[in-house]
Amino acid sequence: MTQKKIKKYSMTICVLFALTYIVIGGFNYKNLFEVKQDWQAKNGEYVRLQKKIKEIKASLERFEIEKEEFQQYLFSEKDIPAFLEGISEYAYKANVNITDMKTKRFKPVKSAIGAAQAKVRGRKMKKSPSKKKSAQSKQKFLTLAAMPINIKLEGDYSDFFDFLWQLEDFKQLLTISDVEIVMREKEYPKLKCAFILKIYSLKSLKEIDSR
Amino acid sequence: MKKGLLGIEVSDVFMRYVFLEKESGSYVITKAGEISSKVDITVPGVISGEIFKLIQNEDISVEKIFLAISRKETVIHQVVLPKMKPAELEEVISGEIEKIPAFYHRNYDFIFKTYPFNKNKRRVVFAVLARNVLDAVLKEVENTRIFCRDLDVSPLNLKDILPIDKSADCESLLVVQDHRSHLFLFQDNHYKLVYRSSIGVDQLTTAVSDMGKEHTLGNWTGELKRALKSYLQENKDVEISRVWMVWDEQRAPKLDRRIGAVLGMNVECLYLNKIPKVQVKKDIYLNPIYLLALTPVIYYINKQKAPFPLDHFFRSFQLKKYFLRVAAMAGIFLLLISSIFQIANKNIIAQSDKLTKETKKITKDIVSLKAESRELFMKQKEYKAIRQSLVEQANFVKRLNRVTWSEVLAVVADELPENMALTSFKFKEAGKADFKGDSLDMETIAGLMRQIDESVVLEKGQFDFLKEDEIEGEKIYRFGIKARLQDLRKKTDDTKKD
Repeated sequence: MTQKKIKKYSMTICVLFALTYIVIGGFNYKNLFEVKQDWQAKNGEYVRLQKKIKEIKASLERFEIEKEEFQQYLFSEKDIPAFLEGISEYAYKANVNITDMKTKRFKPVKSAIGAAQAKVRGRKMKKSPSKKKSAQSKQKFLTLAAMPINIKLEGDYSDFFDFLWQLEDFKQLLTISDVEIVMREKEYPKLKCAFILKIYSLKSLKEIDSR
Repeated sequence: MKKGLLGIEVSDVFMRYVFLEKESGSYVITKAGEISSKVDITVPGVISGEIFKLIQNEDISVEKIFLAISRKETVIHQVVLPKMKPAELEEVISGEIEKIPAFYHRNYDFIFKTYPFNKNKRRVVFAVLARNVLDAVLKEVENTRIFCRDLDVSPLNLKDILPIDKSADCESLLVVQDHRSHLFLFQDNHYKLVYRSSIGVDQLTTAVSDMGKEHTLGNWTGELKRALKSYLQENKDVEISRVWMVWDEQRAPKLDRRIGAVLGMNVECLYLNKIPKVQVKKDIYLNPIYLLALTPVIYYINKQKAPFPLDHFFRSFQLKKYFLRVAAMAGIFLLLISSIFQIANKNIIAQSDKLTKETKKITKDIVSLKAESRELFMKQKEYKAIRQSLVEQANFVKRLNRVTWSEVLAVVADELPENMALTSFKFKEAGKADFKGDSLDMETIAGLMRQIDESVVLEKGQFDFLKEDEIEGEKIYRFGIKARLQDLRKKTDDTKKD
């Protein structure tokens, strides 16, 4: 054994130890890198989820505001009696005679797409094992509902014009359809007029069903 | 007190010493002498005790000690061997050493050097030293705690410090020690002959009678003469110019002259002041034999490499020390490296653990947040569906309100021909319009059809029926017309766009 050999062996041992530590350190660093990446991914997911929830809450709030705004143009339950009284008043002012006025119950407005969706929703509800869930869903699901009022009138042509003009000027949403004007020879210029006046309101499906 | 260099020669009988101090850039021998030392040097504390006593007596401060050993346990020898590899050479020399009775079955250390002999052979000069003596000397020097790493086997390295005349053919050196003597012949810095005689100053001076002394001297000089004659006969072209002589002048005065007379050669005493770069304080006597103690010091002062390295015998002794030092350094390095790596790894692992825990917590939070917000997501889904449905319903209602009925009635009243009476008209929700009426002539009905085509509220007019009738003897036409209501709002929007 010479000094050179001792030096060589000790250097080798030192280098081997250092290499071992470097390898272990490298392995640990790699592990840290992976863990960090995982953490970043999860943290990102968490932040995104929080952001999404915030956005959803904001959109729900916005929806509530929109709903409020929309409801301003619709009839509420308490508005209906006053409105029916108002019709009589308009008729009186327009000099027409209401011979018949029948109100029917609210029914959902059926648009083409809406009808298809309602069908799907109905099927889902049937499939759903929980009746409670279905009832809850109905409770929540709002729809635009129309209440038809069949009105029959007597009066002359210009009076009808005035009456309809007043109705159309009403601030809340209403539609007039199936207008029919019939002349009786002996009663001319008195005419008979019949039409369907529809007023609109936001109702839950359950509310509609219960009526 | 100035620190100086102390050279000590340990012989069988004396410890001879020289002490050198540095004065104005060069070393000066300030003290020299000898102590009788007929003790067993392998006994612990003997040499160190002698050294301490010497230091104390001479009142000197020693910076470094240089040792020269010339005892019966040291042998200088030469052999001529064929050329071979160094490892084989070492084995052969070991074999040669073991042939010497003093080293038979005894531990030893040796040093050797080869010189050219002829084409196939080499002259090997080696010095061997008993292990127990060597260990004892080294240990004793160690005990003095004075730095010492130079040990010479006297007079092995004396040749290279001689004031040699370069023009000389071959020079010789005769060293007469206490119990033996060596005759060296050298040329071109190479040993040509190493002759060892077992007669030394002791034998020459301690004979009982003068006759006995003369007899011993005669035998010895005869031995030397034969050795020289033998060499000169083998090398006829070689001429020995002079013989340098080193001996204990005090114990054997004028021995140089006697030898010169017997050998018939110029014998020159090698005084210390003849050595280059060495100065001597004027008032001290320097016995030529002190040169043996001075030899290793000279190599140190001149920073000259000795042909037989002076640190050779320290190597194995130093190896353990070196090993411990290297081990300590390696240990410190490993400790340092391991500390650094452990701190770094600890940090990395701690960071990993922290991140893993945080990741687990975040995963848990995500799961609970998803569970908590499930209802919110469902609500959003439902609200989206409700909103979509309401938008569609509102659009549908908007389409229903495509005409204002007051406007329709106004237009109908305005556009109806005069010679015509409408008995009824119906407007269905789907936009269909039915007109029924009576007219006195067909022209008026045709006019109505044209009016419908050009009307702002109606379009696509067509007859449903047409029949003749009589009322009070007058012919009338009853008719039915089907048409479609135009979307007045759409028209208004288009106009606005235009």
